[in-house]
Amino acid sequence: MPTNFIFVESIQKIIKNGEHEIKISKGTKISPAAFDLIKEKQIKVIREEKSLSETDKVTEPTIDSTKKNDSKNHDKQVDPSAKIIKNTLKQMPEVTEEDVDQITQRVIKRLKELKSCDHEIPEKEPSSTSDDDLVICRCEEITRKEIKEVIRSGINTLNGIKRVTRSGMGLCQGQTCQSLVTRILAEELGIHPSELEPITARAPVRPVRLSVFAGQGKS
Amino acid sequence: MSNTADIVIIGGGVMGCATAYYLAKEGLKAVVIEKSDIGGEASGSNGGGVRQSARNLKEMPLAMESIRMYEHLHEELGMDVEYVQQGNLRLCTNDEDIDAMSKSVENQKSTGLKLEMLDRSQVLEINPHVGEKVIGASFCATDGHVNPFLVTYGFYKRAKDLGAQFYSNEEVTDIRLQKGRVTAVITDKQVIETDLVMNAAGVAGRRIANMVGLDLPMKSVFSEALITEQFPPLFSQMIGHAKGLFYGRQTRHGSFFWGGFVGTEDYLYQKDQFGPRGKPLFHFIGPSIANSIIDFFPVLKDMNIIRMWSGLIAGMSDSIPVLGLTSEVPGFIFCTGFSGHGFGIGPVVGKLMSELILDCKPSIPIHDFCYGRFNKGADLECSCNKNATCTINTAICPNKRQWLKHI
Repeated sequence: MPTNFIFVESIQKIIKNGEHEIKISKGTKISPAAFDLIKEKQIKVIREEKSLSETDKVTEPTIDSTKKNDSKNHDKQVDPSAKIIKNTLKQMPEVTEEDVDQITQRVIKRLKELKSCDHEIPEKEPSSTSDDDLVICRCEEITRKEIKEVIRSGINTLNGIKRVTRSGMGLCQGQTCQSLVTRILAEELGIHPSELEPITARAPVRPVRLSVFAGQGKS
Repeated sequence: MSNTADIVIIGGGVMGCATAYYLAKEGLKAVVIEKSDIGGEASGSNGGGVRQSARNLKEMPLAMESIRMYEHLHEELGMDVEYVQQGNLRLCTNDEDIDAMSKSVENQKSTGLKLEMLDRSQVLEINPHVGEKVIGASFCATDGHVNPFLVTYGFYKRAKDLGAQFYSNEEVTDIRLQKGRVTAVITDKQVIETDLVMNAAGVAGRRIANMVGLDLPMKSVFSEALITEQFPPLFSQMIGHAKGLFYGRQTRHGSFFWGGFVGTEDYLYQKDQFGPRGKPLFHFIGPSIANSIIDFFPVLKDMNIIRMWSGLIAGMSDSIPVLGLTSEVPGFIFCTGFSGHGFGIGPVVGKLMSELILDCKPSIPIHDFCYGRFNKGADLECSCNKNATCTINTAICPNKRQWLKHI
C-alpha cells in the first residue's frame, strides 16, 4: 500500500488560498519541512478517520465490553496496554482521575514511536543543528554536518553522497553508517527512507587479502 | 512542461560540469541533463590520473595545458581536489616494453615535454618498492593524479552557484531536429527547447549521436578497479604499465587504487580464461589485476581489498576523442569518446568547449578531433578546413547568435 505524503507545496497552496487548516486522511505522513511550515504558520491539522467504520468492524469481535467503552471514550484505538497503564496509574495517589486518560494516551503514543520510527507526525524538528558534529560514518570519520552540506548543494542520492564525502567507503563498506545517512537524506528531502535507493553494494563482502584474491597464497 | 535553454549539455560528468562552469563564468547558463548522478558514470569510476606521458601526440597540447590548469584548480573551484604532482612511472617488464616506451618517449620529447627513460636502478631511486620484474620505466615529473569525484563535484557546485541548471536522474530520449537543425531536447520528464546541444554523454555518446542521425566508431570497453585498505604513505607517483593495461596510485586517504583492463596477461594465459571471442572473462580480470599489483609491488601482497568496481570506457577506433561542431547537424556539438584518458584533460576540454560555444575560437586548435575525420574512411584524415575550427561556416557559427547580446 503506497504511503501518502503531505509536502511543502500543498501547505504553501493552503496558505496561498488563505485557509488555516489542513485535512489529512489516516496513514498520511507529513514531511519534516512541511511540518515546520505548519508549526510556523500555525495551521490546524485535522486528521480524517477515513476508514473509521472499517476499523470498528474489525476491532469489535476481538474486544470485550469494558475495552469497547474505553475505545469510544478515546475516540479510537483499542490497545491492550491501555488497560494495564490505566490500572497502574489509578494506584498512584498523585495522579488525578482527569489526568489518567491524558497520560495513558501519551504513554501509548510514545510506545508506538519506540516500536517503529515510522511515526505519523514528527514531534520535534528532526534535523536540529545541535548534533551537527556527530560522527555518522565511523570508518571515515564523516560528520552529520559534512553530509548535510553535500545534500544541500544538490546531491540527492546515497551513491552521490558516498562519492563526495567518502561515507561508506571505509572498512565496513557502509554497513554501519548507511542507515543513518539514509535517514539524514530522507529528512533533508522530506521523503520516507524507503523511497531512497541504497548505495551500490560492492564486492568483496568482507576484506580479502590481495594474495588470496590473486590466487597465489593461502589465507 | 516545456522549457527553453541557450544550450543543453547531455552528460553531467567532468566534461559536462566543466563546460557548464566555464560557460556560466562568462554569463551563459547551461542546462545539464544527467542520466544517473552527477559524476556517477565514468567520472566517478576512473583512476584520476593526470598525465602527459604516453599520450597521443594530438592530445599533447591539451594535456600540457591541463597540467597548468590542475595546478590552480583548487583556487578556481574553492576546494581541495587532492591534486598531487609527483610524476608518472610507466613500468616496463621486458625488452619489448622498453623498445615501445623508448620510441614513445622520443616522440613525446619532440613536443617539448620533459620526460626520460630510466633503468632499474634509477626507478628504484624514485620508487624503492617496485618488484624484481620491473627492468625500466619512463618518468615524467610533471604528471600526477587527482581525486576525480571531487573535481567533478567542484565543477558542479561552482557551475550551479553561477546559475547553471542541473537535472540528474533524467534521461534524454530524443533530440528534435527541424530542417536539419537542433530545436529541442526531449527527456523522460520534459521537453527543453534549444538550438545548441552538447553531447558529453561519454559511453552513451554514440546513442546520443544516433538521435540526430550521426554515428561514431565507438565501442564500450570494460575496466575494473580494486581499492585496498588504508596504508601509511608509500609512494606518491602515478603508476602505469608500458602497454597501459594496468594503472594505480595511492590516494591522499591512504588507500590504493588499482585499475586495469586485463592486468598482466601472463596470468590470464596460464589460467586459459578467455571467452569465445578471445577476450578475457570478466571474473578473471580482478584476480589478474591483483596479480599485477603483487608483481609490481610485492610489499602490498598482504593488504586487504575492501572494494571493487568497474566502469565503461568510451573507446574510439583511433583512441582520441571527438570534439567540436559538425556541418552535418548545425547546433550539435561533440565532446565524447575520450577512450579512457579523458579525465586528465577534463578541465581544459571544458574550457575549450566553452570558448567554442561562446565565440567559435578555442584557444587551442581542436580540428584534430573533429567529427569530419571519420568521413574519409581508413586514412582518418580530417576533411575539415584546418584553418577554421571545423567545416562549420560563419552562417551557422554561434558567434552570430542572438543570445550573445545578453551576455
